[in-house]
Amino acid sequence: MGTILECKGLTKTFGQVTALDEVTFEIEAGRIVGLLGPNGSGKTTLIKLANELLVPTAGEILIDGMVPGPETKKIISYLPDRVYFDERMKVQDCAAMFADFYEDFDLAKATDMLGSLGVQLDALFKTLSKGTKEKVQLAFVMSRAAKLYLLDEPIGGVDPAARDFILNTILRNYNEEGTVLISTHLISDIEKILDDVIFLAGGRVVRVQSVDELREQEGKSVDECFREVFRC
Amino acid sequence: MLGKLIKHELKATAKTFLWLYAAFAVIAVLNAIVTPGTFGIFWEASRVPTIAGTVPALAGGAEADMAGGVMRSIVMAMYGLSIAAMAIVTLVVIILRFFRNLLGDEGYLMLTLPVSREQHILSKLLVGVIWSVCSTVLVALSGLLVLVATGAWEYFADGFAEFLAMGPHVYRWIFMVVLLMLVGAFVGVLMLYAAMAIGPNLLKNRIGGSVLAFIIIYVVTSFVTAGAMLAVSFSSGTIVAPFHPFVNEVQSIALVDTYLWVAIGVSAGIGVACWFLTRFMVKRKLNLA
Repeated sequence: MGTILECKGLTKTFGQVTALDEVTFEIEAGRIVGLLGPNGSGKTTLIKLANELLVPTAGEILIDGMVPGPETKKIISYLPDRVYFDERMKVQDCAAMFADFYEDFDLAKATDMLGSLGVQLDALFKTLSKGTKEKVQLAFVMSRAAKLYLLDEPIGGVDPAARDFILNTILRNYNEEGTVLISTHLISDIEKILDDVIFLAGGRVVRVQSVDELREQEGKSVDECFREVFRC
Repeated sequence: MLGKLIKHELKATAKTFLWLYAAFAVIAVLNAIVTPGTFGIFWEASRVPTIAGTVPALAGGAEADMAGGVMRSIVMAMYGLSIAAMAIVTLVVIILRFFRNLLGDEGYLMLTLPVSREQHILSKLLVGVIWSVCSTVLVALSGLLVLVATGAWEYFADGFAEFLAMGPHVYRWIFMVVLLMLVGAFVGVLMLYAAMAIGPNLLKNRIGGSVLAFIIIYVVTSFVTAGAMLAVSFSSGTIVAPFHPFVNEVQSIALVDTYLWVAIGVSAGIGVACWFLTRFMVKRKLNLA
């Protein structure tokens, strides 16, 4: 199916700090990939580079063969690790914005998901709880038939019941020809849905493998391997 | 895509400005009504008996004059404050829309839309200038309203007609001053954008960094503008002999023309520089918190 995301010697430094150090790997289209690593390992930096929210210091990152820009943003559906809504906007204003800018946005699907969350379309964002805002954001992101979903810590900081909801939402709604990249350090929760894993440590890639291969080779679960690789 | 961005930007800012303009219009009209002169109904009650009859407490005597005076002062102060409010709110909205919507958390949504950074900056710039122009025009109209209300309008109109009668160059000057103001509106907004785009790279505190960047940009552009004006003065000889009357009218008109064109040119140059600076910072140096 080809490569959807490719990093070649990708390096990003912030002053003296090296967040990513010559990272090289490829992600094949159509897979669900876990970007795994402890806090500060460079997961968010990598995802921000893929979204053109940062520019590489050296090396390159390619999305479907293209340098990040307006064209790659058409095919990426991105869930950042924070709430990004304008508090004075209504939920429907944001839905209208997605519909306006993203050709692959399915408004009916989003409306449906919001309905099942019990969110009123004419509600102002400032009246919603943080958890609800996160779910609304996920509903918008997953209502796109994107080629690549970049989900940054979608289950970080939520209770286990909400984790199940989020994972089910992702699995039920993603475009099956698309690729999903989920960054997290909560591995046991998502291990069962992953096809491949990328382990990041201190800005370097320490392992890129399919989950089946990893289990076969190590005779352990991804979670156990992770704990071993990142033992403090 | 630029059209869509502008549409959403207008939608996001319209509510604030429509309320602001409505409140300003009410205060401006109130101010015109209580201004002594043509419509000065409260202290020249005898001239407008029917309306005065509806406000009997103010309709005559020293007491009424005083009450009218106090009220007039309050309304005039409110009018003065509302002009300041127009300027401040316009400025604050222009700043916040860029700072929050592109450089803050909202940037995670906006900057990942399939739109170029140039289009983002341009849409915000155009909408900011549109509101600046609207605010300025409204304040100017309220000033005209005061002129009409005080009865000074005729003198103003006469004076203006005399000014226009000075010759065809006057029309050119009016056009150039309007052009200068319009270019100035673009440049003012772009200077703010450039400062905010540079700010986070100067200091850890983004707001402090932006203020510092603005001061630097302001000082540099002031020097450039002053230098250009001085250069015109030197080349025309007015500095060498500042108190000499101009030799003839043709030369003095030409000098005003030169000043205006240089002012427009320098402003436009500063605007272009700020545009490229902002564009570079937002494209290459952006790092959302």
